[in-house]
Amino acid sequence: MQTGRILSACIFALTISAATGITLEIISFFFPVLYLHWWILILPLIGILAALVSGIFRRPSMQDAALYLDEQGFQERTVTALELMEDKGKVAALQRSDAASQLRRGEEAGKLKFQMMPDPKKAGIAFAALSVMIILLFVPSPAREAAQQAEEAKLLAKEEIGEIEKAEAALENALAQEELTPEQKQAIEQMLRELENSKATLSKAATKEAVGRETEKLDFKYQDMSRHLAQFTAGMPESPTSQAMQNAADQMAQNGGMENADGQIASNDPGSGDSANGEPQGKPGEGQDQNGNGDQNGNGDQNGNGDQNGNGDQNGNGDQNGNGNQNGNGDQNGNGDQNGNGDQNGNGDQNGNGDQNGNGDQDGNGNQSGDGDQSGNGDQSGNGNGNGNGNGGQNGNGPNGNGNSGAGGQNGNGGSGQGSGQSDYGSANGIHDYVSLPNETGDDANLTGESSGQGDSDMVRTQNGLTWEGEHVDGQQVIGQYRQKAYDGIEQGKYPKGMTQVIKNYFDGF
Amino acid sequence: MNEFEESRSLIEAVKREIAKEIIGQEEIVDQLLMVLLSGGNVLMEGMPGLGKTRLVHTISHVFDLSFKRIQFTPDLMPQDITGTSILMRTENGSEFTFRKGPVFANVVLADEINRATPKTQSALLEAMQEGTVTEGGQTHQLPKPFFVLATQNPIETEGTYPLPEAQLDRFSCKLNLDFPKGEQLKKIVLLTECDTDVPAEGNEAGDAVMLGALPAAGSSTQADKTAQKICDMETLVRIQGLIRQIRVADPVMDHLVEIIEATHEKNRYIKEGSSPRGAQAMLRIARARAFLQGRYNVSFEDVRFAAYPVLRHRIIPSFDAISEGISTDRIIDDILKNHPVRNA
Repeated sequence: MQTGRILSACIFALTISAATGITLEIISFFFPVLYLHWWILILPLIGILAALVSGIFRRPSMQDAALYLDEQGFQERTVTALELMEDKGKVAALQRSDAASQLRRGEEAGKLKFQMMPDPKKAGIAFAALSVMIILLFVPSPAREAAQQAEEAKLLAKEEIGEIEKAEAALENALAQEELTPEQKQAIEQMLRELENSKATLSKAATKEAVGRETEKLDFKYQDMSRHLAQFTAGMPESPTSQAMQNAADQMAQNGGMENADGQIASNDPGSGDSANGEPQGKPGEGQDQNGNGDQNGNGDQNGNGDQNGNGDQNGNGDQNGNGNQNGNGDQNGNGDQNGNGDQNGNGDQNGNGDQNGNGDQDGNGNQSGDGDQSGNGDQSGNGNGNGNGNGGQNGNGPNGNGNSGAGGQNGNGGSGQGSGQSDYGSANGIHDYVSLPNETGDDANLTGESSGQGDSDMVRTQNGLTWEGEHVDGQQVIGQYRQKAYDGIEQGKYPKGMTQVIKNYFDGF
Repeated sequence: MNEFEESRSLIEAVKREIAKEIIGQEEIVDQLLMVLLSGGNVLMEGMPGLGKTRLVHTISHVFDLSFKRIQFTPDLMPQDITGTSILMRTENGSEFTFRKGPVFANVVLADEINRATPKTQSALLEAMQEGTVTEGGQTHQLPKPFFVLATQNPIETEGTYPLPEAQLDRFSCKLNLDFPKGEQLKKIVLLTECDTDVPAEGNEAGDAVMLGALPAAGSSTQADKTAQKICDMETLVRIQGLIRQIRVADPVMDHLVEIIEATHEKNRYIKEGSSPRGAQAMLRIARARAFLQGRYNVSFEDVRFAAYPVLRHRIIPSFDAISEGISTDRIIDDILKNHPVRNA
């Protein structure tokens, strides 16, 4: 009887869970229901489990069994006899005897049966309901697709948030160090805020596209943060602080898809062929050397730790990051950055709009034309002509350079080979603007043109001249404000995708 | 054969005897016997001329019980029922002697009880309740067994005094006597007006009966035509005692209580539900039915059967029920439908 009850309860539970599932599925046609397929799977299992537990705990009693028997036509003789088992009275005995004789007759007539199998009709209804539930699961609808999208977006966002949390942990570890300068602290706190913003945006993302957009911005942030942290680390003596910063930089680089903050993605390709347009060359972090005579054309990034030897041209829009030496006679054309600690030896021209950052030597006879910045500590030997507009000038100590600075100015004493350090354009400290005053003859070689011979023009070199009056703001602060506005705009998606890298490059130059 | 089975056989014989004089109405006869055997009283409602008096008279004759009929009229006095003290001349002078009224019988037929005044009705009902009559400071015991069958005419309600609910409650059951069907009516007329053999109960209605025909060879004797005494008072009392020993299982008792409680649930057709006397009466009638069916225990079916005669006059219908023509039997139908037997 208990078995029959459990089976009946299971059939009932399956019917109810199928009905609930069908209801959920109908709702899902109009409103997105998250994890619908999991519900469809779990509901019948819960139902059966509940039925089993109920059947085990609601074990039928003797009275239940007696009543069940009496339903076969014994008119409550069995249940009365059961209650009178202990009664020794005459009538009780007569009643028990009567019940026994009736049960015997019933047994002979085949009436004493306990139905174990559930009602076939009910079983049929349960099966039909389950079938409908399963069939409806495969019927598409816009709301369902939206729900599926939301589910996938949630999963993707969860992964990204996990990475953000790792990055935040690394940054907080770095922030906890005592040897940080106030600027570094401020920068790290800003990074944490930006990561929190991304986290919040990812939590709310409802589609894969939204997650993808935010992931792109996040990659950009990671790379940017990685570089900044690497810059903080560079020049710092070995200490727990520098180690924490380096770890944070490495974490950012890893999250952003780089090997580490200083590395390049190495390529397994021996470099004997041309890379197709648009394909990134190499794999991140492998540390492979690229040897051979090949041209690298296209729009790819070269990251990792490797040497590029040979005679190849690098054309296109790519970044070369990491610690590598570029030897040979190659031209670097296009819009790319060469970051890291590498030497560029040979006779090559660097054309286009690129930045050369890091600590490397630039040997050879090359022309640097275009709009780019050269910053870092390296030896600059050779004869180069610097043309173009360099904003920010050439910073660093570059001995032995005979370079002609362009309109961007070459501050310091680079022309004479005595690089004296840092140029602070617009800074309150140091020598400031040069003012031309009329009616004096000037000897500035930059004053080109033909003199009319009418009147005198004066040129005065002085510190803190007439135009120096007024309110002064630190140039880096101004640049910082512009940079922040630009980054905010990137986060908010104000700029076209293709321009984000250009904007990044522009401000990185500062 | 134990005493239960003997008693059952005796009651079956009683039924056969009664069937000699009462054509049809088997259900009414069965229910009357159940009430008699359970020691209750009956209120019967039916058109005049349906054989109520004859039925009660036949039952009392078969059981060898004293029978008295009281015709209730508006001028009937309580003393006309209970009896009164009369000044009698004796050897010692004059003294008051209590002359017993018609209520001092085993079977009392109170015909058209709703025609007498409430005061007179109370006299009978009080005697039914107490089993005694008090007159002149003396208490007189009514005979046992004591069975009252009161009748009401459903028509001619002018000048009548309907029994109040509190007094209706004293009757175990209320039975509705229906008009006999075609063949039954024919047999009744033949039995009472023609000197012919009426086919025994249970024969097909198509059997031909000739008016005025000589009795055929081997035809029935007088004993076969009229009911005979086959039981006595003591046997009846003994059978009543046996029936009280019929057992009731807990689930059956729970079902009985459930039905009584259901008369007090919110129902737009019920103004007032049954009293606890209704539960007691239901159990007694259910026991009697179980006995008649040859069982030593009460079943769910017995309880549900007893619900109709027991609750018919105890449920006070509301104005909605009266205005919509909903009978108490229909209300009882709904109650039983909404409270089915508990399955295992």
